[in-house]
Amino acid sequence: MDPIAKFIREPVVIFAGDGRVIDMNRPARSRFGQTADSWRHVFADLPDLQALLERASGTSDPVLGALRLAGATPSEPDAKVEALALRDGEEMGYAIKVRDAIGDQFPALTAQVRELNSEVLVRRRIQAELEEALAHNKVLYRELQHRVKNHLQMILALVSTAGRESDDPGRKQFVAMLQSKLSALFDAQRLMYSEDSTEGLRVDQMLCALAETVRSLAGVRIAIEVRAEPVIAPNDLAFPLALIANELLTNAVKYAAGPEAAVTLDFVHSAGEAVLTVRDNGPGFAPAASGPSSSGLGLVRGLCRQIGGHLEIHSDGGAVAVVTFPLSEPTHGLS
Amino acid sequence: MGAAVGKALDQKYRAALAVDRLSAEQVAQVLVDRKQRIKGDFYVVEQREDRIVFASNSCPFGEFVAGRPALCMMTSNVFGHVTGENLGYARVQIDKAIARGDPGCHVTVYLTPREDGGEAREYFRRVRPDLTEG
Repeated sequence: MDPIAKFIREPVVIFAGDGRVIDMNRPARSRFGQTADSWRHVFADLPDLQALLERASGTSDPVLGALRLAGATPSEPDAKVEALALRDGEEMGYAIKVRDAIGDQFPALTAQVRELNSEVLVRRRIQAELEEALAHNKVLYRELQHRVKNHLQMILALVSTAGRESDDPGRKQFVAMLQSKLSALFDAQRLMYSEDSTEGLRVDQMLCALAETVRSLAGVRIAIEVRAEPVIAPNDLAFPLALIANELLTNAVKYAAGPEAAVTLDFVHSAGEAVLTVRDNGPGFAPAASGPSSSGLGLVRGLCRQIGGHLEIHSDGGAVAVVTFPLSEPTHGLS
Repeated sequence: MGAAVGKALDQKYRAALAVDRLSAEQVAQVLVDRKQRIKGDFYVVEQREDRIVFASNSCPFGEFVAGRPALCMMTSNVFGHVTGENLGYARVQIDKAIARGDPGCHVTVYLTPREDGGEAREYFRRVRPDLTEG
């Protein structure tokens, strides 16, 4: 045995060209037994060993491989080995170092790694369960939105029927008012369902839908122009905002002047603050309109308080209503 | 990896040329042909009884080879394996390498063993051992 091989902590076995064991270092004797005298006592598979040694014979440097050790259990992986051809004139021998049969030199580290691996497994399982629960909840949430939308649609139909069947003008007016408010809620709900969003919905899309609904319910020809930035509003803000916009638009349409009646709705968002402006070309607000319940403005003020905003009204070639409120877009946007 | 590529190439060229073993001239031509096919413009600088000297101004690995001389092992293994298998012995010495910052590559394949072996890697014709007696 070359003295250098004695320094090596892994088992090193020297074979003759015919497979006899010529020499072993101490770790190899300890691993394969003092009496091991043939490759059969060291390795289990002849073709694999031959292929490795053939590769080793082609170069002066060690070659890497994996071989099944003699007596290895079925669950044991093949051992990583390095084979080096030893040339002595015409004679050829081989040295094979078994790389991973040296035992665990770092038991504490191995235990720590094993513990971490088992923790990773537990966390992966928990994550899989959470993902499954989340997917289930999304289905339930969507189903709930769908049902709410359907119920609102049913209520709208019932209210419309009630209005049509009545001859009482006061009752018809009340039904129309109710229908308008329910339509606003329905539009927001329909958008929420169609966007499949759990975070919020697009304010510009909601305002356009509302404007279209108000225009169709008005029963008169009127142009409503919507200029809204594509901002996402959280769901809990969307419904009060829909009611506010509906109330202001309904008022504007109601008071806009004659055949040239025109209403504009602007929505801008900047630095965490949103401004909704509804303007018509009617006679403007009467001085008494600043009262708490004039033309539904009481409801608007109440809803403004709910979303942390405030309403300002003034006349400028018609009535102008400006609602300012804080708005932070949802972190994840629409799903 | 390089040895496996070298083995496959060697078998293909031998089959294409319909010979059992390549001559020294054929080895030089095969290695140049192989390199040129993969965009390395290798050419033979010198061919003598005891050596074949190759040079190149470009590397098949392109700009990615800069600072990665380990990639030269691919060339060394392919040249060494093909030469060793056909001529019985090869010692591959990378004299200059683009990977090491040289303007071009310069590779010498020695065909006869040196007494002291030197630092260069040696390649031999492979022998399948008969272990049935052991």
